[in-house]
Amino acid sequence: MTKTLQTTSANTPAIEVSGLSMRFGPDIVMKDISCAFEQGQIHGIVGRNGSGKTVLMKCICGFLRPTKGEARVFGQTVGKDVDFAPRTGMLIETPGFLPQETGMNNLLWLAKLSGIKGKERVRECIILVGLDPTLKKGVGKYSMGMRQRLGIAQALLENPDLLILDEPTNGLDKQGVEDIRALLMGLRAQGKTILLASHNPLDISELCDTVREMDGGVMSTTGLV
Amino acid sequence: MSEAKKVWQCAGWNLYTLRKNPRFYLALLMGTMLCWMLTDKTLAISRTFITPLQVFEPFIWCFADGDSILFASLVLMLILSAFPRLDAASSYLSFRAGRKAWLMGQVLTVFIITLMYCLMLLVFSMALTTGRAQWTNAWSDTATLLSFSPGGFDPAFAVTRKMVKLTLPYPALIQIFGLLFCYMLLLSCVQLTFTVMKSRKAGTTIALLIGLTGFILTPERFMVWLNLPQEFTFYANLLAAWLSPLQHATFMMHNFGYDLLPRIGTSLLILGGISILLLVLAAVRIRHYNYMFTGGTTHD
Repeated sequence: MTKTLQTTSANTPAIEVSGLSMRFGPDIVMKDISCAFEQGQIHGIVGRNGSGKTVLMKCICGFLRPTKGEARVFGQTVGKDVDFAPRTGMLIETPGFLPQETGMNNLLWLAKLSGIKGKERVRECIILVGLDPTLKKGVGKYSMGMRQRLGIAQALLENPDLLILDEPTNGLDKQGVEDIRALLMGLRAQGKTILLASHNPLDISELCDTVREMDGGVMSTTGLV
Repeated sequence: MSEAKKVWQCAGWNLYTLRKNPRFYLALLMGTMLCWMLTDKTLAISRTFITPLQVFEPFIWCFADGDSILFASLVLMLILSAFPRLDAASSYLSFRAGRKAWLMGQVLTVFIITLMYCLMLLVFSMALTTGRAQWTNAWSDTATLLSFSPGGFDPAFAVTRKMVKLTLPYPALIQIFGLLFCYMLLLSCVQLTFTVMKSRKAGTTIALLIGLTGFILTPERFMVWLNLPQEFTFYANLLAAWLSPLQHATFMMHNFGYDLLPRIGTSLLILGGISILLLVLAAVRIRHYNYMFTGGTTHD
C-alpha cells in the first residue's frame, strides 16, 4: 500500500469529503458532497440503487477520481498524497476472486502483496468471518454468502483502521448477517471506523452511530442518529 | 514492501491466473500450429532433397517474412487481450500495490508473455528440425539450395541470396528475433495503453488495426496508389519500409549497406521507442484513471 502516516490525531476525522462531484460523460452521479466521518464509529449510508453510494465509496477509496472536490482519509488527500485510501480495508460491490483457487490461496496472494508473512493472519481472518481456512474447493464453488464473507476477510487482512463496506451482508443468510453484525460491532469496540452502505434497515439501525442518506447523487445532512 | 517487489507480485499474480485460463492454452496451441504450418515448407524441402538444416533456419526463413510475423502477432493478441486485468479481483491487488506498481505489473506481464511467446515459437521451430539439424553457424545445404535455386523454383518463402550472402544464421536469428519481439511488444503496448486511456474495446481494436496496416501498407499497394511504373519499385519499397510498422519488423525490408531502407538498429529503435512512449502515456494516464471494475468472480 502507498506510504501512510502512522499517527493521526484522534480528532482528525477518519474521512473528510469536501465538494465532491462526479460525472460520467453527461451524467452527474454525485453533486457537491461535503461531510466528515469521525473515527471509532460506524457510519451508515443509505439510499436507493443508483443514488451514488458506491461512487462515493469508490472516490473515497481512490478507485475513481472525482470531477471536483477531494476526499481525505486520515488527513491524507486521496489522489494527491496517496493513490488509495491509507490504513483502509474495502469491500465494494460484488467480491471478486480467482474462481479456481481456494479462499486461502486467494487471500495469500493479497497478503504477500501487503508484506504479510506466513499464513497465520490469513487463516485468522478467514476464521473471523466464519469460514474454514482448510476448505479445498475453489471460490467459484462458494455460495454468494461465502464469497461475501471471504470479501470481508480480504478487507480485514491488514488490520485496517478504516473499513469501507458496500452491502457487506448481501447474500448472507440470517445467521451470516448476525455473525457479520457481531463482527462489525467487535471492530468498532476495538476503535475501528466503519463506513457502511446497506439496504438493510436493521443493519443501519442496529449498527450505525450516524446515518446519511443519498438520493440522486446528493447527500442529505439530516438523518444523524 | 518495495515498489519493485510489488510490481513483481502483480505480474506474478497475472501470470498465475493464466495457469487455468483456457484462452491461454488455446492461444499457445494456435501459436504452435501456426509455427508448424509456416515452417513446414522449409522442412518439406529438406525432406525432399534429403539435406540437413541449420537448427534456426525454419525460424529464420519463417519470421523473416512479414505475413508470418503478422499472423503470429494476432495469435498473441488473443492472450494479451486479457491485460490489463480490470476485474474486481484485481481491484484488491491494485488497492494494495498502488496505481503505478499495478500498471508496471501489467507492463511486466505483457513483456514476459511476449518474450515467452517468441521463445516458444523459436523452440517449437527448432524442435521440428530434430533429426536433421546442425548447430554450426553456417547456412545448411537446404538454405544454399533454396537461395541459389534457378528462377522458376519458387518456394514461396523468404529465403534470399541476399540473406545467405550477407549474414550468418546466429546474427540473423538475433536480428529476426529482436524485430519480431519488438513488433509484438509494440502491439502489446498499444493494446495496454489504449485500454488504460480509453477502454478495453478501444485498446484491442487499435492494436488489431495497427496489425492490419501490415496488409495495407505494402510496396505493391504503394505502387498502385501512386501509379508508379515497375522501375520505381524502389520508391514503393522505401515508403512501405519506413511507414509500415510490420515492414519495420520484416528482416528483408532493411538496409544492408547499399540502399535507403531503414537499418535494423533504426527499426528496433523506432519500434522500441514508440513502445516506451506509449508506456509513458499510460503511466501519465493511470494517475487519473477511473477503475470501473466489472465486479464478481473473474472468469478470465
